[in-house]
Amino acid sequence: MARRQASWRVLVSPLIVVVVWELLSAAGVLRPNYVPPPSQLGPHLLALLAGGELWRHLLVTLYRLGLSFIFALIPAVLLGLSLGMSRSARLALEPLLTSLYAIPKIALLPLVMLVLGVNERTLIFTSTLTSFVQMTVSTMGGVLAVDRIVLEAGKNYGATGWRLFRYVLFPSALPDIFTGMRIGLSLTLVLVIAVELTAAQEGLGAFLWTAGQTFSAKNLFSAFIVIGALGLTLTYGLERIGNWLMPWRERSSAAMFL
Amino acid sequence: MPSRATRLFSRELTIPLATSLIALAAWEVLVHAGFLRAAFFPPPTNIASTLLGLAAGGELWLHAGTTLGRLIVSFLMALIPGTALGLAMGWWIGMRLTADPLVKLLFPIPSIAFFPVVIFYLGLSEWGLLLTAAITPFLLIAVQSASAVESLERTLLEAVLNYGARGLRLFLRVILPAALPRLFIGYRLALGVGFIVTVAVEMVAGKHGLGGFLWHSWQILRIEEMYVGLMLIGLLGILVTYGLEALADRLMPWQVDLLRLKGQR
Repeated sequence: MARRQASWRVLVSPLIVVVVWELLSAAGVLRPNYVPPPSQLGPHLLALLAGGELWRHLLVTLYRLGLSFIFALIPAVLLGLSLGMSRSARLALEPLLTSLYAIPKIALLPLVMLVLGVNERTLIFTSTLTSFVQMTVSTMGGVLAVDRIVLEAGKNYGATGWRLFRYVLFPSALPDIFTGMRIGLSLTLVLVIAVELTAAQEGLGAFLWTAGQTFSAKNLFSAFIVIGALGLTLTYGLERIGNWLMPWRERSSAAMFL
Repeated sequence: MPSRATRLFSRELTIPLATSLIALAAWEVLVHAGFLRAAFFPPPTNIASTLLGLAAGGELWLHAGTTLGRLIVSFLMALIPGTALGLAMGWWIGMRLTADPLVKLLFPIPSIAFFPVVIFYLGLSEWGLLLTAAITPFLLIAVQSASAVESLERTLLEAVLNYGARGLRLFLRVILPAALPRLFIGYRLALGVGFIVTVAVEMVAGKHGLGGFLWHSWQILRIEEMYVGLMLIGLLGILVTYGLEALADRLMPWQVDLLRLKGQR
């Protein structure tokens, strides 16, 4: 279904929400201490960004997210490819992978804190694990989902070994690998924010938590907006990049979150 | 070829079983040999006896029941309005133009970030926990239900409209069955997300529930109990991740392929 809406239409209902919000605040229905009106929130957010405080927390969160993604990427893709190609390896690691996939990675935080101590390494390790598991499973699924017919055709044309992998298997699995990266990043962002809420002094999650605990509605909303913008960028930005890099892949709405 | 099928089946069962048992045995041996610190990695036999001890008392079941209850209630809080909104968005163009941008704007926001905002208004109450765990699943279900209706086949709809199906009959006999497999995809994803958020929120806030139990046993350094908590969370996670898939297989055997999430098999 390629029914595209005109791009300006997408903005209409969010704008209406903002205007109604502002009007309700002006009419005194929403108290500014609880729900700050957009006209106050905008300047406050800009001031927080200009003052550098929010930038610092954003950079800390981005640093954690990026580092754990980079650490996980190469091992996860390599392991996922091997598991996809070797049946015995897949069966041998299945129990471990299944349980790791099903456990919310935040639940591993106490165990990691116990072993590594309460520090930055713990946070990075737990995040890396989140990305790693998701990307491994997606990569493996991508290899397993490669069309048998395509594979047979490649073999019949004489592609074997490295050439079969490089020109047939890998490009076919690439869309799934990419989807795994995107979901991995989104899940890791949830994890990083969750860990920052529980056990960190810095980062957007910590800033958000402090704002809530000190009843600063403006800081709370500002932090929430920045975190939301980060989530939106990861989800839609990476989807665009993926479509541009791999024009051969299928686009479906379900693949947005898978 | 039954003989080949049995062989495959047995291999699919024996290899994972063997590796798990070997890993557990190696863990046990390495601890006793002093290579793994028992303070960090208590031997599996100790964990098992702790589990049995806790299972005899009622407290552990209370925690597990609390988490399961929260998961179910928050899932229903997401499922009913989410499906209704999504189906409406898929059916009426006006609804889509109004609600779709808002839903698509909100659902990529990291689910756990809603928690401080929700408790800012509701306090650390049970409703705060449930609402937090319901928000992202609700949005996910709405998006997925809308796309389920949009992807219905036009010819099918034209045909049944020509045959005079209208209103509730049209909805219950045609739209719902045709959209069900895709709705299920949304439900599965939503349940998974809901579980992650429930556990995370319990760890941050709850004294009760498996997440709270896990966090508490870490804080007082009862390591065996921590592993028990982790194990139960894992079991519940497996149930959530694979249970709904099995259910869907039974309910809609004709739609097995669509329901397999890409990248899971």
